[in-house]
Amino acid sequence: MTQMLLLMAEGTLTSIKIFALTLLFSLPFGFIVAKGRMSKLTVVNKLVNLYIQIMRGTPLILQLIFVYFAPYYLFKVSYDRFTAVILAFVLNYSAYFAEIYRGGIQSIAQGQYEASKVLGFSKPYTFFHIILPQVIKQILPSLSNEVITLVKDTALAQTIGVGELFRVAQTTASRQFSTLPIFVAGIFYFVMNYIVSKAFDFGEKKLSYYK
Amino acid sequence: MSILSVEHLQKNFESLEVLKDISFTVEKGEVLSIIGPSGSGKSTILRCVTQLEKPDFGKIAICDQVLCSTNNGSFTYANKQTAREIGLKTGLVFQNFNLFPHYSVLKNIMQPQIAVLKLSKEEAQKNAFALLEQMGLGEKANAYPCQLSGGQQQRVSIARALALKPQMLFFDEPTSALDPELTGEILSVIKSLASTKMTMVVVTHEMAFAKEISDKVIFMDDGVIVEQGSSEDVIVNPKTERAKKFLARYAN
Repeated sequence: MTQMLLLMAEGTLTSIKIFALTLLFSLPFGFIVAKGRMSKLTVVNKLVNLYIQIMRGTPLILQLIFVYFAPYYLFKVSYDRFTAVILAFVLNYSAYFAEIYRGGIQSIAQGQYEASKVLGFSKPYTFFHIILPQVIKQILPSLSNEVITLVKDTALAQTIGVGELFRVAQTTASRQFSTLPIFVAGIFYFVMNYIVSKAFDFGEKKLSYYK
Repeated sequence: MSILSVEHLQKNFESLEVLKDISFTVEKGEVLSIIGPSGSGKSTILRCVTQLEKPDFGKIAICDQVLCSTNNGSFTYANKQTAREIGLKTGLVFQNFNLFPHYSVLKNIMQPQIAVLKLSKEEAQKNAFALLEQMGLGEKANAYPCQLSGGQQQRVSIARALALKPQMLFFDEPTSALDPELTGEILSVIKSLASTKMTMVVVTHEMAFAKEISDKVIFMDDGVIVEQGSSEDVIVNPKTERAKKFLARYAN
């Protein structure tokens, strides 16, 4: 039992690493994608839109396989599996975050920009002090949905052989001829997501002082 | 020398000519009201002068600085630095206030002074409290805009504009989003500003108010100035049929 829990704790650590690194890169990268999606340059706008369509229109599991194996078949280069997982997750999640950001940015009334301009705020000041705080409040609920999905999606990393929580649970289960480790893994995911949703609740409450 | 001079101003939105040939001046300490039907281009004038829109032709000069000019048919706009300097001399009060919802009343008034005028926090706060007192909102300093009535929000937005010490203040239908009771509240604030010789340009549908406070009135229709003169001339004794017809609606 302790042996099993120790193994699973190790798997959990890998899952958390995937989770954290994906967020670390895709939250800012998604913003750049959103900017591209809203670009007035038709070429940029169309290309970014195509990228988003592909990321949202195909299974993440397939994207994982593609990102890991395509360089090998095309250029005969292979690379670290864990890196491939992060790359695929970041590409996929950035597309979703970009659309959430876009919705948030477009929900801010034009008057906020106009008031900022007339008062003499610079463009960066307007964005970081006036627009962004309002966007964050606006998108927090949809962001929490996506982040919770990410916790569960980390289980897909096993597709290309990365030993995250669910893979460890499955191998332990078959070694012990018992489904118990699978259900224990379920509890692990549930606890992680409980923490994530509590964190978002806290954030929403913090920002509820204005409408 | 006029504090604001506008000559032959033209503005098109695509093929729509919103301003056709607008010329007028405002002297220091004067109050100018711009009246006329919706869509006549009143707000667009304010938006050109406060740099929210770029005109297509003509000249705008504010406090002897040229924002845009047209020489031999070619239109030139001031460089960033000059445009910014001019922008600091003008303030604009919007129809729907446009307060920053995530800032308290106090911060709405303090932040522009700190970020734009580079005042210290203490100084900005002192000015903000003085302005709130002047607006009768002394106790609302820590409230958020969503907790205020429309009239109170508009008074905060006037205080926010005044905090930057503009040379002239523009009002774009400042009472159109308010009920009659709250309208009175805002009009009396503007009246008291007029008595301090603040230079103001007010776009309004409040005829009685315009007549009372204005040194000069412009009646616009379809992108042109149909009449301009003293409030007596334009509001009480309009000469053109168009102005007579428009003002008749306000007679009762």
